[in-house]
Amino acid sequence: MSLTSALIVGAIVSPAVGAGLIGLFDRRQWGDAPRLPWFVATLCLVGTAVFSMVLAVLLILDGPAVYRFGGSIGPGVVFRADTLSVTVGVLDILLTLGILAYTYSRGPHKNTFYIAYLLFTTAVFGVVLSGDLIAIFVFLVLLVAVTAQLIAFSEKDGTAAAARNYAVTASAGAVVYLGGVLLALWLSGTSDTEQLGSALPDLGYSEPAVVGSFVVMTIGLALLVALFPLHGWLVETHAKSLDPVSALISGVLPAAATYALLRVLFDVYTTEFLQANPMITTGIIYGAVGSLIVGNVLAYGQRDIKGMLAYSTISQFGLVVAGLMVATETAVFGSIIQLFGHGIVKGALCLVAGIIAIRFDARTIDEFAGVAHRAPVVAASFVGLVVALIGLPPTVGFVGKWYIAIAAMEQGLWIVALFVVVSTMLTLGYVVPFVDRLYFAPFEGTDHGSETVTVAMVVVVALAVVLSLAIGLGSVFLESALREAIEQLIAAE
Amino acid sequence: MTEIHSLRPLATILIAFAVVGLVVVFRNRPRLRQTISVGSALLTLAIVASLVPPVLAGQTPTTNLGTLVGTVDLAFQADPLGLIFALTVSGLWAITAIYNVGFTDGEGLTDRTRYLAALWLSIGSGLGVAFASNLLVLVLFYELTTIGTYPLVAHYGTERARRVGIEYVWYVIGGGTLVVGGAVLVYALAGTISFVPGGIPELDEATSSGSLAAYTAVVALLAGFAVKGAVMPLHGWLPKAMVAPTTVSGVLHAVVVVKSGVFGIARTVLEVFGPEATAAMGIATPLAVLAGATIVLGSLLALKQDDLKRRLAYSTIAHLSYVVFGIALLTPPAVVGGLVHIGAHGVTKLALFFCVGVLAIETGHKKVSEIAGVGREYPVTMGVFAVGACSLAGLPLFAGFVGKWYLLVGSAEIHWTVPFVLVLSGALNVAYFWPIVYAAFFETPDTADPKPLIDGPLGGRSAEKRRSRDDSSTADSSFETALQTDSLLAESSPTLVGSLALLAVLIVGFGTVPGELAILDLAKKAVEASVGEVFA
Repeated sequence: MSLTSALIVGAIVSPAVGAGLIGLFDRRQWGDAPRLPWFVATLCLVGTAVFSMVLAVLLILDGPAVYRFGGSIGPGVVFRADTLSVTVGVLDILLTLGILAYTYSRGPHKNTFYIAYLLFTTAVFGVVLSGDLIAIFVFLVLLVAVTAQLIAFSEKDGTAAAARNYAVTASAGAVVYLGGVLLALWLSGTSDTEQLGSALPDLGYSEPAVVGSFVVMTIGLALLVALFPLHGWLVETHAKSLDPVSALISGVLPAAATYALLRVLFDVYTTEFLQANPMITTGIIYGAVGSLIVGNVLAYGQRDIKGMLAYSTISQFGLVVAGLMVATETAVFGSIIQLFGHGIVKGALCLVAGIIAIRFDARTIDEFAGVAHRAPVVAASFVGLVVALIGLPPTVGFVGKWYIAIAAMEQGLWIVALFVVVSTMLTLGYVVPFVDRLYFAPFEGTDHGSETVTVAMVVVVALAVVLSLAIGLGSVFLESALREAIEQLIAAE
Repeated sequence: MTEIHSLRPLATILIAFAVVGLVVVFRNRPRLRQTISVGSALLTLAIVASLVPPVLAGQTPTTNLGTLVGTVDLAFQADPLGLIFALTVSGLWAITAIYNVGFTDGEGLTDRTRYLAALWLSIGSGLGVAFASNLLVLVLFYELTTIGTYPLVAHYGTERARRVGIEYVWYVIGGGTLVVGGAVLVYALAGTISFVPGGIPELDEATSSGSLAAYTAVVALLAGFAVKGAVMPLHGWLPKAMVAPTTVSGVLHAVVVVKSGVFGIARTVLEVFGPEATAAMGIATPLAVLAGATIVLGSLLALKQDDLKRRLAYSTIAHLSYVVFGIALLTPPAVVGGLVHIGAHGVTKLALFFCVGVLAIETGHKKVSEIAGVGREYPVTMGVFAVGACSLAGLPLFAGFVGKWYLLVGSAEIHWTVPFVLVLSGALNVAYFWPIVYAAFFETPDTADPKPLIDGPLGGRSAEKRRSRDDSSTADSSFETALQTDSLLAESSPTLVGSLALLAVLIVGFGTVPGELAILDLAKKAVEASVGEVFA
C-alpha cells in the first residue's frame, strides 16, 4: 500500500471513525465535557484536512494516482485521486471546519448531529475519490441520507417534511443515475470509470444504448446539482435548514454532484463522445445557460435572504456546468475555480445570514435595515462576499467567469459568453437592494447585543472574504496545480 | 520607449488602499485620521510627480506583479497617457483632501469613517485605472471605483439618495460589464489585451476584415466607457448623482469617475484598436457626432438648471465630450486638446464645485436664483467661481483655453465648419455662467430678476408676478443674517478658502504657462506615440 493510497483511505475513513467514536458513547457519560463531540469532530476533520493536503502535494509532484483494492477479482473497490478531486475535497474541508468553528457555541450539540456531520465529509470524499460508478452511487446515497439528517435538526415548522421530501427527491435522482450506470454495466460489463472509458469506443459513441446511458446518468446527476428545472429541492431545504447546514447544502452538495458529473463526462464518455453527439452537448449547454438565467431571475422575487441565496446557487451551478460543457482546458479550469470559489462565498454568506439572524432576528430584506450601523464587520464581510458573488474583479467570482467566457468565445459559443457576462448584471440587481438596506436604512429591529455572536463566527466569514480575494488574485497558482489533471481529463483516449 | 522596473506606480495605489485601512483603524481619532489623509494625499502626489521626468525622457516605469489570469499580467505602467490621468487624480485629490477637512465639519457629515474610507478607495482605484497596463487590470480598478463611489452617492441615506445610489450602480456596473464583454472579445480576437500605442497589432486582421466580433468589441468598449464618461444618451446618472456631498460631486463626479470613462475611451481608441483601425471601421465619425451633440445639448440643458450643482453637472457632461470629441476627430492636435482638457477641466470644475460647497455651508444657498449679492459677502469664493467660469468658457489665459485651442486647430484640419461646435459651446458656457457671476457681484436680492433663457415665458415675467414670487421665497432672508466677514480668509474656514485659492492659481497657471505643468507635454508625447506628429 503506497503512501498515496494510505492517504486516500485515511481521508475517507478518518471522519467515519470519529462518527463511530461519538456514536459509541452516550452523552450522559461525558456530562462534564459537553463539548467533547465537538472536539472529536474537529480532530477527525483536521485529520482529513492533513491527509488531503499531503495528498495534494503528492499529486502535484507525481501526477494522478489510482488505487485498486481487491485486485481483479470481481468488481473491485477502486479509488482514484488527482488534483481535481482534492480541490473539491479541500472545499468540503474548509467549509466543514469553518462551520464547526461557527457552531461551537450555538450548536446543535447533539451527538447525532456530529455523527451526520462527519459522515457528510466521508460521503463527499467517497464521491470524489471513487473510481467506480457504482461506488459513487453508494456514496451519493450516503450523502443524501446524512444531509436529510442534518436538515432535520432545524426547529422550523415543517422541517421533518422537508427532510423527508429531500430524501425522497434526491434518492430518486441517485436511483436514476444508478439506472444509467447499470445500463452501461450491462453494455460493457464494468462500472470502473477507466475500464468503461476504454470499452465505450468499441461499442460506438453514437450507439443509442450508450447515448441513453449517458443521458440517464446526466439527468440523475443534474437533479443532485439542482439544475433548472430539477432545482425545487434546493430552495425548499435551503429555507428550512439551519444556516450552517444551508452552507453545506449550497456550498458542497451540488459541488460533489458536479464533480461526479465531471467524471462521467470526461473520464467515462470523453470529449469525443460529446463531439459525436452535438445534439446532447448543445442541449446540456442550453439547459445550463437556462439554469443560469432562471436562477438569477427567480432570485429577484425573494425577500428572504436564504431564498435569494438558494436561487443564486442554482444560477451559479448553471454557470459551472455550462463551463464544463464548453469542454476546453480553459473552460474546465474556469468551472473548477468557480465551483470552489462559489462554495466558499456561498457557504460564508449562509453563515452571515445566520449571524444576522442570531443577533437581530433579521431574515428578510426589510429586517436587514440599518444592521451595518450595529455590526460593521459583519456587514462589510457581507459586502465583500456579494461582490464576489456578483463576480466583480479581482474576486474569485470574476476569474471563473473570465476563463469560462474566454473559452466559450474561442469555441464560438458566443451565447454562453454573452450570458456569462450578462449574469453579472442579473446578480447585481437582486443583491444591491440588500446592501442598500443594510447600510442606508435606519435601524429599527431588535438587537440582542454583540455577545450573542462569538468572535469565531465573525472570523470565519471575514476569512472567507480574504480567501475569495486571494484565490482571485492567485488563480495562476491554482491553475498550475490543476493543469496536468485537466489536460489528462480533456485529452481523449 | 524603454520599460524600466519601478515600484512607484504600484506604490501610489498601495498607499491609497493602506489609508483605507488606517481610516478604519483610527475611526475614533478624527484629527489623526484627517492628518493621515492629507499627508498621504500629498505623498501620493509627490510620487506621481516624480514619475514625470523619466516618462518625459522616454522611459516607462513599470511594476509587474506576475500573471493575473491566463496570459494577462497584473502590471502597472506609467506611460504618458496614464500619467496625465494619474497627475490629474492625485493632484486634485491632494487639494480635495485639504478642502475635505473644513468641509466635513462645516457640512456636519455623519458616518465619516465610511465616507473617508470610500473616498480613498475611489482614489486608489482611480490611480489603478490610470496605471493599468492592460484592459483587464483597467477593468478591475474601474469596477473598484464603482464600489468606492456607491456608498458616497447614497451617503445621506435619504429615500432619494438611496434610490439614486441603486440607479447609479446599475448604470456604471452595466458600463463595466460591457467593458468586460469587450475585453473578452478583444482577448479572443487578439490573444492579448495589453495596451500598445497605435493599437494592438494582433487585432489588425480582425479589424481590417470587418468581422462582427471586432465591431461588437469596439462598440461594447466604447459604450461601456461612455457610461462613466456621460456621453449622451448614457449620461442620465450624472445629474442625479449630485445628491452626494459636494466633495464627492467635485472630486469623483467631475474628476475621477467621469474621467476614468473618457480615459477608457482614449485607451480604447489610441492603444487597443488604434486610430487607423478606429477610422477604418467607421467608428470614429459616429463617436465624434455623438460627442459633438453631447457638447451642445449638455450646454443647453445646463442653462435650464436652477440648482447650482445640477448646472455644473450638465456642464460636466458637455466638457467631458470635449475630450471624447478630440479623441474621435483623430487629428493629432485635436487628440492633444482632448487629453489636455482632462486635466484642465478637472482643475476648473473642482474649483467650481468647491465654491458651490462653500456657499452651501456658509449661506445655505444652493440655487442660481438665490445667489444675488452673494459676491459681496464672499468675494474670494465668487471670485474663484468667476475664474472657473472664464476657464470653462475657454477664454485665453485660463486653463480651459489650452485644450480648446488645440481642439480648434485639430478640428479645423477636418473641415472649417467643425470648430463651430466648440465656438457655440463657448458661447453657451458664457450664457450659463455669466448670470451667476453677474448676480453674485452686481445684484442684491431686492434688485435681482430672473434670467430666463430657456425656461419661463418669453420676455420674462411681469414685475408684479416677480415680486410675489420673491416674497414667498424665504431662502433670501437668510442672506441678511449671513456671516459678516472681516478679512478675506475669514469668509470660511482656512482649509476651504486656501484650497479654493490654490485651485484659482492652478487654473491661471495652467492657462498662462501650460508648458510648466507637464500635462501638455505628456499629451503631446502620448499622441506622437499613437496618432502622429503634432503640427508636423
